[in-house]
Amino acid sequence: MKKISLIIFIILFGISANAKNTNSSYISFGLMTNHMHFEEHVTPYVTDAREINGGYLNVFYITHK
Amino acid sequence: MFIGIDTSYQSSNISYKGANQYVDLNGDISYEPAETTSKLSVFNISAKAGIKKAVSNRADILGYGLLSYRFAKRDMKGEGGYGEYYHWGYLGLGLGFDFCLSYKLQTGVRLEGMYAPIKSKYFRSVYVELSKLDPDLKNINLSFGSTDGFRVKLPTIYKISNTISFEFEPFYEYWHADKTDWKDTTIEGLIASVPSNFTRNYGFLQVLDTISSKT
Repeated sequence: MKKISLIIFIILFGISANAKNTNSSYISFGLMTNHMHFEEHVTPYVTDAREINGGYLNVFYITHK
Repeated sequence: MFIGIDTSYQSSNISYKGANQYVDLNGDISYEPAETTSKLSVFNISAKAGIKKAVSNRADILGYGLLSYRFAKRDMKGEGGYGEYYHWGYLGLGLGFDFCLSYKLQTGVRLEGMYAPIKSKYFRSVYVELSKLDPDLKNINLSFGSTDGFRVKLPTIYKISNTISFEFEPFYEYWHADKTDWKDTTIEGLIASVPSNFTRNYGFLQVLDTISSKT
């Protein structure tokens, strides 16, 4: 198992239109600040991937038949 | 009863340094260094419907269902780079509790469980542009196994006026996708797969709610 960390500082632009109850409707705008962590399990082999600057994974691997 | 549609979009540039792994029949492993910069974009749309019931003059409970779709694009540049397009259509069930602290201030909690029930090209899969990695490889579509997750949200709403509210919502989201099937890459003897993976995502939303109409 290899843990590959992902640290992203993401700004999200969100918009939602909700009828939250029967007599009013809403339009919402927002921002999201978040931290995302991605972890991948490869067994029995382990990738040599490692994190740099909160880098993202390179999850894909190829094997010979 | 309430209904709604929520959409969100997030985007970021991500640097990565790692390796692609190659395994031969004898189990020998070799690595090819990969150093890329990725552009990650995630789009999510959820339709929801539910009911809200007062349990006291200051507290409500609510239950709702979600019909959602999540699309993520990862475009990796540079050596070892390629593109990936994730598609997840999923259902969700949510439970919530709201409590009015004062006339202007409300807080609450939401618990949501999610599950992607349909294993297909557009509902639980990743499309991999392997041709960007090597022109001799073909682009393939890989279907994930069981895919599920949950969210916890803690919305606090401050009523600025009768028509405008500010919402602050810490959240935690977890996704698990089981490994994909294996596909031929057209180069003889080469097959490819994406292993099982977990995503944990936490942060907070800052939202301005505007009451646009009353019926």
